[in-house]
Amino acid sequence: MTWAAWRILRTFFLVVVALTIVLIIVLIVDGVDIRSLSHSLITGRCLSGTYGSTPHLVYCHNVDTRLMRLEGFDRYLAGLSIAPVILAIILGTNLIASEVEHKTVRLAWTQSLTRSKWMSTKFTLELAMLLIIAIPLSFTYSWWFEAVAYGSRVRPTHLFFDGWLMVAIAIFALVATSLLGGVVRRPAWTFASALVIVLIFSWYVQTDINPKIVPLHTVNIGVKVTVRKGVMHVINFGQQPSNSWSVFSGYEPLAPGGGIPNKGQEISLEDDVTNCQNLPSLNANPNNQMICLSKLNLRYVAIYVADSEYWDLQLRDGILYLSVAGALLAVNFWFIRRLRV
Amino acid sequence: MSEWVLQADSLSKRFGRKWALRDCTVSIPQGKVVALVGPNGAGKSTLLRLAAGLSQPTSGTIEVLGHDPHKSNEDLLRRIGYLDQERPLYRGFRVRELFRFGADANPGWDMQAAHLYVDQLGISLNDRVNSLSGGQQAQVALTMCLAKKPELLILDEPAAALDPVAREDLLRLLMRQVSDNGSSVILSTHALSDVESICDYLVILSHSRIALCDDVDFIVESHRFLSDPTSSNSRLPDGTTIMDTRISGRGVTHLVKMDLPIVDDSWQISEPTLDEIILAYLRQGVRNGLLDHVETPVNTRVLP
Repeated sequence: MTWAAWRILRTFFLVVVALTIVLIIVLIVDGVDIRSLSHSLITGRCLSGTYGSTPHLVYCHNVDTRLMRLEGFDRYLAGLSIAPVILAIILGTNLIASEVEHKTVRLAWTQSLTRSKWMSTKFTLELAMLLIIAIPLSFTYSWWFEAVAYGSRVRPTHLFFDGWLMVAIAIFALVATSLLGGVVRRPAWTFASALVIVLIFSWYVQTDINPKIVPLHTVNIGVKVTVRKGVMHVINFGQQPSNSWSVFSGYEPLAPGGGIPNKGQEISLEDDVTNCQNLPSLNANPNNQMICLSKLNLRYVAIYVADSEYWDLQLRDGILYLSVAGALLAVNFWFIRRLRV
Repeated sequence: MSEWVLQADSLSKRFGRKWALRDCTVSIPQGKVVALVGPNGAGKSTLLRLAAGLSQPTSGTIEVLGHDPHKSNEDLLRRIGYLDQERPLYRGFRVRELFRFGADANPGWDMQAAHLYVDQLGISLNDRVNSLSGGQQAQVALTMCLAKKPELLILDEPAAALDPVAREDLLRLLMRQVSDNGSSVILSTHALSDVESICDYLVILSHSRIALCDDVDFIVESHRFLSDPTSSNSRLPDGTTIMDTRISGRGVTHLVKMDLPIVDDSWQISEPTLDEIILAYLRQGVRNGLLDHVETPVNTRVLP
């Protein structure tokens, strides 16, 4: 059976391996190029802005232009980081949906082996194929992200999926798709619905689960306005680090460990905040807004995931995806024993 | 070891609101070549799929070679060969590769026999499945079943859409398997000539129910044409059930099922062919819609 499962996917797998090798080479060449250009631009003589001689000026200008051009290209390359997940969905579609549609499952399931054995053989082979492609690709991407992100994978607006997390998401996608295939029974619909479900689940993990599985950091943000000799001075205090991922910014009750306010709390605070912002005495003393808010036990905060938590978060996310995949795999084995074909 | 290759008790299968099989109770003995006959949509393929373990009954039970086929029992799977109506094969495989798959998946696989079968049919082992004609694909699919050396072959319309020569080849191949290995065969078919030529047991399915199930010789022996050329109102002998009636002029001819030997000289008695009996049951199934009424006593039947 292993041989037949391999034979079914042989051509596809070899083509994907070839494409993966090409992609890995492109990533390495691009990463090395970007690193070298960035090094020239940031740590070289171009940094000072006084380029000196005309040839040097031209050189720095060229470096800058090439870097900008590569950054455009890198957006496409970054988009290809979803490749292991797409591959997993294609393999997952092949596992059940494709065989059900072509009715070959009737041939396979009437040979002298149980459905569970058939499933475990095909799944193991497809998992091996996925890992052979996803592991080198994911780790090349990790290295490449580091090169193009100038060392920081954490941005205020998003996090990069990185390292083994990409592999874990791909395994989750493989299992989820194979289960969906038994339900949907049409490869094209299975592919489309699996893609949507994996994206929604990843989005849910990113926005709703991630802030709950790593320690969050909070910084008070505010402004202090002073007027000296008729001149208004505005002093900002508190700032979220640029290499951190913002999970909340807004007003929260001044209670220790208040955490992220839920929607209901946010709405109830809105009136108080609006009142403080519309105080008639603000013209006389702009600091009255802050005083008003502190009287109401409110503060403006930024809550974020620090860069130092990144790998911990990736590890916990990976465990989460693999746990869900494990549960879905068990459901899958239960389900195919009852599948009517 | 069970004396029955297939036993179904009140077996029913429903797809959504539609019943594909209803209250089927049937027992098929070992060592028979069984024809499963019925119009399209009668539930033949559903019954065979249930027997092959590809589907689960909605209610009732089915046992094949003494096992519940849906439990995906490896021992049972080894003992049955199933040919689906749509002859699913891995289209990108070569014939040789299909056989390799068969050998990997079946401990009792007879590679020599598989090579011999396709060689006799003029199919090369290097041919790709998708380059074969429909008939050749059917032959390869049947070879996949036969090379398993199963005790029971479950074949869903194995000869459908084959030209006469291919049909003859396929049936010959099948009969050789039966004689060489003593396999039992359950095959569904629309070709009544196949039933007469190779089958010794008959199951008629109509409107999702079993209309008739018995040994072919017994079926022929237990049915008679009764003709009365002078009147269409003559009283029928006791122990007979009308299965079909033809009226011509003033006379009438009934096909009846006999529970007792007929000793009534007022009727002209003749033996029907198997085809005529099958057609009568199928026609009656169509007329009645439901086969609850197939064996309605003569006195209560109103004939056209």
